[in-house]
Amino acid sequence: MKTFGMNRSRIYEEERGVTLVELMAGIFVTLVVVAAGFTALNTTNKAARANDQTVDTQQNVRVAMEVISRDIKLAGFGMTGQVGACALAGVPQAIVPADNSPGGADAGPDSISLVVPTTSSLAPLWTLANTVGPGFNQITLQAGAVANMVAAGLNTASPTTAQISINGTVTATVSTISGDTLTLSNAIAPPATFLAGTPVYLLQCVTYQVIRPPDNNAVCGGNAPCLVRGITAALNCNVAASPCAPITDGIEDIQFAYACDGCNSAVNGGIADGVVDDQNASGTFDQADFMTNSSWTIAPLTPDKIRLVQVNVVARQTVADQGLGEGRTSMTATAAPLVISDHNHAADATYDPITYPQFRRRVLTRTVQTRNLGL
Amino acid sequence: MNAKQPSTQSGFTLIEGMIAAIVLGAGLLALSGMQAISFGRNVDANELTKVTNLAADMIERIHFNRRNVAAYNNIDTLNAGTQPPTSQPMARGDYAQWQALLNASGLTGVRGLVTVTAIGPVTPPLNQNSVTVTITWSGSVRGETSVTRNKALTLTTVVAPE
Repeated sequence: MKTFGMNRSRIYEEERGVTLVELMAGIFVTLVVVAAGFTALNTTNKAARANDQTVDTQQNVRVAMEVISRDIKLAGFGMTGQVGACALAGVPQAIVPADNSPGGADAGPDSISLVVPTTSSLAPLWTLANTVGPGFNQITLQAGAVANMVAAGLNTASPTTAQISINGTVTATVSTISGDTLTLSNAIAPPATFLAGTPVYLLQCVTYQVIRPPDNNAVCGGNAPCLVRGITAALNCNVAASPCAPITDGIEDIQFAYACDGCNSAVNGGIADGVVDDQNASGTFDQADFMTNSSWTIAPLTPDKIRLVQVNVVARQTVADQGLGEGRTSMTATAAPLVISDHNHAADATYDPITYPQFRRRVLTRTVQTRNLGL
Repeated sequence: MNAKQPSTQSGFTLIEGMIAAIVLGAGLLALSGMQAISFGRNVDANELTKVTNLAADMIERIHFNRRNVAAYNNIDTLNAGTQPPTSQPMARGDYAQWQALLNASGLTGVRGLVTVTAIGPVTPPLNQNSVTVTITWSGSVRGETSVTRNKALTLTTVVAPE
């Protein structure tokens, strides 16, 4: 035995298994190590979830702002008459502002309706099948494109009042539809010529609206609050079997303020002069010249005078955080109710001082110039 | 022949176990460090989105008042002496409102600058101007580092009165 060396002899001599005390000590040490590891894992998991929520919120607010401001820039797009339901007091308008409470401070989100060109990214594309012009009153689109347009809301009753824009250059009213051929109510005069493949847009009146819980009409598909967009009969998406589709989750509030030129008869005789009208007679162009409360129906204060639109978007995370500790703790993510434009969130009927602070919020503000309102 | 000697059955020593635990701990710490970095990047992304919107805001305002684009040259929100003159009410109002928006953004040390440079052919004059809107701020200290990072965002566009 001794020839195997000291080490080996020890093993042989002490090969007696472990004692209960040793085993318990070992289990205890293992337990501590595993518990520490599990705590770290748990915290990391919760942090990852909070991170995801934050990313989603930021993404939602950014997307909502991009989509809305892009459509405000395009609003109008050469419209020649009323498009869809976009009218105020019987007068066709490219922008229909809808303040939550035109009489004073708001207790909910605004909405807005805009005449914008719509197109389809799916085949068949809405493009001319043949070159037309100079001088024409009919256009033929790619096979199937008109059926696609009808599905998107092109009115098929004859005569239709639908307006189309060819390449954003000329706008025409469609009188009759036959297969893939659209007959225009007025001939397009020479020298306008359009090559095959030129895009054709359908002008539509889209409404942006925030649907908040309780979403009784299920417009958000169980994910209220959300921002919805759609073509509606009465500029309201919050109806049963709504034609509007949710475009971004978690949008809690949108607020619009409008600056106009030539809309105040007390300023420069009501004539547009390239300077936003001084609504509060302060002698300067200031924030108060962006109007938050107006019905926009009394001339000269009408939507076609709108030159700048200030857009505010508020997004919140869709699920409240659990906190980073072991238990479920409610953290304060929004310190005080936000005041966005003329809307104090604490004024809402659904405002809950317990749950409101538990959600992270992201607010974006941007001023957008209207490009197509007859400038 | 004696390859499977009982002498190889020596188990782990306490030292070995502890070293393994330390390695595991270091790995887990690195994981939580990754979360901190991720949070920091989120904060950065939020700041960048805000600042991009603020810069776009000024670009839109200049585009509306494009006939007076030269009035916006060299305005600096931290230097009231650079605000456009009272003979330019739109530009002066845009300056004041933009300054208020920047200050309300919650960014540290935020500063907005606009430069306008005439470009394009002189004859015939196309009256084109290159407009550069720059916003600088100190990045948030949250994240993997406690050092504030100076950040800048620049938007450039060409404005030509029709």
